[in-house]
Amino acid sequence: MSGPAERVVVKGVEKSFGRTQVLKGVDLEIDPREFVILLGPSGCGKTTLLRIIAGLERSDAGEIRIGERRVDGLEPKERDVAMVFQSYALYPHMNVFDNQSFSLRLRRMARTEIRDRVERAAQTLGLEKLLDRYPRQLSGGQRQRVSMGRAIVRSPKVFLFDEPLSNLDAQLRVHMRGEIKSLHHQLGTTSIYVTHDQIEAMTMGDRIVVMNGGIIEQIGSPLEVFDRPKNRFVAGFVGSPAMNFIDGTLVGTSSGTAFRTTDGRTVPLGPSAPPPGPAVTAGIRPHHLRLDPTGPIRGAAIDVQPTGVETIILCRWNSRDLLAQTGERIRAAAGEQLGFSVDPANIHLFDGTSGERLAA
Amino acid sequence: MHATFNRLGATLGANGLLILFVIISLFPVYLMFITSLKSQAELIQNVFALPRNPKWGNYPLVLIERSYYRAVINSLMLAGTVTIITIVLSCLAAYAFAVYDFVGRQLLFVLVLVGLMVSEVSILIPVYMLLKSWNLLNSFVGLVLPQIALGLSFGIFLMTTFFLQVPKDLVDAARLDGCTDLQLLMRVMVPVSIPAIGALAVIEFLWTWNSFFFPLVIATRQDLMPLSVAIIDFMGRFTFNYELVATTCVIMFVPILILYVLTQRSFRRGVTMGAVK
Amino acid sequence: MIDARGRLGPYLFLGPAILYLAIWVYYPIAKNFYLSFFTAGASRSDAPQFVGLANYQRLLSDDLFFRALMHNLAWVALSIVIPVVIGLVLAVLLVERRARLFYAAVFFLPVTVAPIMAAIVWGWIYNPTFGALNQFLAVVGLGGLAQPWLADPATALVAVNMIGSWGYYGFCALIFLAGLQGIDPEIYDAARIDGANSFRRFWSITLPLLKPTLVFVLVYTIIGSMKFFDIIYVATKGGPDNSTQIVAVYMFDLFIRQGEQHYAAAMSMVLTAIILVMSLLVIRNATRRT
Ligand SMILES: Nc1ncnc2c1ncn2[C@@H]1O[C@H](COP(=O)(O)OP(=O)(O)O)[C@@H](O)[C@H]1O
Ligand SMILES: [Mg+2]
Repeated sequence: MSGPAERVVVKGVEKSFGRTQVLKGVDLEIDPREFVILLGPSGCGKTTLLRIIAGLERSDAGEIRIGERRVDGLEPKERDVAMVFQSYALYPHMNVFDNQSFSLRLRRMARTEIRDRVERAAQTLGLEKLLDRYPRQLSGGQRQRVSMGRAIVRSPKVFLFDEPLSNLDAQLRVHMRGEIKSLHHQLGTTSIYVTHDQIEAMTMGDRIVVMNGGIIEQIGSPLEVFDRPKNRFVAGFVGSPAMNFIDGTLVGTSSGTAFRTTDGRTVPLGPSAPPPGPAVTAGIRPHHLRLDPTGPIRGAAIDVQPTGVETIILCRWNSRDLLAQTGERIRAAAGEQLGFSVDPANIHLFDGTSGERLAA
Repeated sequence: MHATFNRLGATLGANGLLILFVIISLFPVYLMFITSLKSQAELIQNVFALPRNPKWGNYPLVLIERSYYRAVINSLMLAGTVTIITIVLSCLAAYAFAVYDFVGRQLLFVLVLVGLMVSEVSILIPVYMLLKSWNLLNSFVGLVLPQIALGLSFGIFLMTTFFLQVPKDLVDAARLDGCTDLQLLMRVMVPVSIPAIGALAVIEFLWTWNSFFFPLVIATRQDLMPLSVAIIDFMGRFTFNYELVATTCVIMFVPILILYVLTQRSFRRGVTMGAVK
Repeated sequence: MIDARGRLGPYLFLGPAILYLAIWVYYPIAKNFYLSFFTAGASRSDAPQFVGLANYQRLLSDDLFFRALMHNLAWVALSIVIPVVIGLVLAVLLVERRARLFYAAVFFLPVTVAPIMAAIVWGWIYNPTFGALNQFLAVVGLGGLAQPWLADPATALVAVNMIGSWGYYGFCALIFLAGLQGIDPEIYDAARIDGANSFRRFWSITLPLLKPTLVFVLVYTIIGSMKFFDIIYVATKGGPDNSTQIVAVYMFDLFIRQGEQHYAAAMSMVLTAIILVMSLLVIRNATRRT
């Protein structure tokens, strides 16, 4: 049951609703069979971009290609894409079989072929026993599966997912994540998946597209985006708990460039650090902060939260929150001074004004 | 002690009031039924009591000998046709208002709402002249056409509010599944909105069945009169034949009573949906 | 909502209904307006003559028109004081009862009775010789109050309004009931904890929250009362002695019986304008004070 796989190209797409520009020139190329995640804060234009690709919304400028075909003038049904909605959008007056076969019936496909396809999809998704049920008789997870079934029976060129798991409870979400992934391995259909869930983004995609305010901030594999965020926004948005940011400058020392915080502490940087210069922001992920009584980074403990697996330490330093994450079980009284050190390789440096990553 | 007494009094008062209005609501209907079965003499003797020798013969007399079956058929045809056409036109227009954003949408919707405030009284004269010039006075078509106009704005308004409640994702899913506009309307919007359409249907049927003003002017030939006009025509000629007038009234009321009993929920929905905007 | 720039789709779907309304509602209104500036020619074959505002001037000096208009306004007032208030009271009594839908269904039954039928049946109830009302009064020892209710100019208007009210309180009750059921019961619990008695709760919570419903019922009552026709036409034809004459019946008589279509057109224009202004005033006042 391997569908046709097509390249999707988005070029210079812009979209405004009234006076607010929601998409400000989006360029994106998705390879055949790729599973791409659109990640970004709420309201950044993810859904709008997806709907433009689907043909449910018109763009003001730019072009969309699916395969060799330019589709921006086409009706949704002419684009051969399928979409899975956050609300599932099942037809309440049709049973599961009819829900899944609706698009095929509209195309006047032969009855036997329809039955065949729906049954195969039902098998893939474990819906065989539910074909006669109506949506109101299904649980959330089952509805979710039906809406996926409705998408796959068509063997479309592209799958579009708009936060399909966000209405499920945590356990089911983990489970469905795996199912969608294995489904993609099976079918190999080019997929675009919108989410604001960090874990979904990190675990499901071949590549992540990080969006913010109607533009694309970075495109890259999950680990690339995580390990080498292109700018401060991506660094702060990807990863949970979020990266700590510390303002300062780069200064020259006897052992090479070092980072000097605004309150005058010096953190050594590795040999590949950029030359000394004006204001920068250093970013350090919480799990990279090591408890070290002699470390250069110091703060007053506010709260220590043992989660069982790890301990989260919240500190106040230089009127900023500092979060550290460690596998050890530690105790600290509120107000107690703690010191941390960090491996120079784990310090991200961003330009203090533009927020761009500094070559390192 | 005092409080309990007060509460008891309040409960009794409330129940008494409700019972009183149950009686007020039902009594005229009861009176209509029993009057249709009484003789003149019996009627004057005791208006409240059940008839001693029910004159069931009044019904065949009115229906067959006086040919009132024709008025029944006329009313059924009139109300049925008006209801169906109103629903079709309302659904088509409501689909455009609810699904599309187009130039002039606001303006056209306001124009439709203005129709809600226009009554038959404001348009009687031009409508009469129009029908006259098209030779439609005293014709079935002439009865149907203006009657639809009276309920159409309400129908469009009601269906638009209902179609707007259909989740946007459902409409989008249907478009991605390959629906054309007409398919989206017929295979998704309409089936999903069956309760609303049922409500509109019973209300529109009731209105048209009970309508009097336009039919009174348009149908002056007996063979075309719907029941409402036929009854008044009958009254005009046999004012004091109370039991036969009552019989015609019962004949007019029974179909509505049956419809009402069978479609309670639709009536309730139709009446309240317009109000809760 | 789908952006339909440059597409015919929505217009094709709207076309039939709008065309329909254009022919049977908008055009007649315009035509009515047009007609009101003319008067019939001297003989049947003559063309109508333009007379400017003469028909409207005639209205100003037409005592019967003003009387009819006053009756309409009295009808509005009576319909608010009687069926609307009864409907509200019934709805409040019903809202917490399990049998509320049963009661509502019974109260709504008169609404399904055709107005002409209500007029006929109530005509019997009011009948001076065998009428149920006078007989009932005699039974309870109030025989002295017996009247020819519809035949006495002093009682006719109120009596005939009772017929209309009978067919209306159930409608109001049903709508108020729906409005009341839309109010979150926790608000009442909160008010009870705050120490509000039942009267206070009705006044400070129910009424304000019911406002949209009230506005709807008021506007609906105004429109319905101003254009009222069926029951009066059947029960009294505006009599006795014009004591129940209302604008629609008067206008109908002018048009059908007296062939005064131009004058009648002017009258219906004025009626339409009054309905519009009254409705808009209610809506505006209601929306301003929120
Ligand atoms: N149909 C619309 N009309 C007006 N504004 C809209 C419409 N759809 C989306 N928006 C606005 O566009 C912005 C982006 O929305 P959306 O694409 O839904 O964001 P996301 O899916 O990333 O949360 C939001 O500010 C939203 O309010
Ligand atoms: Mg979204």
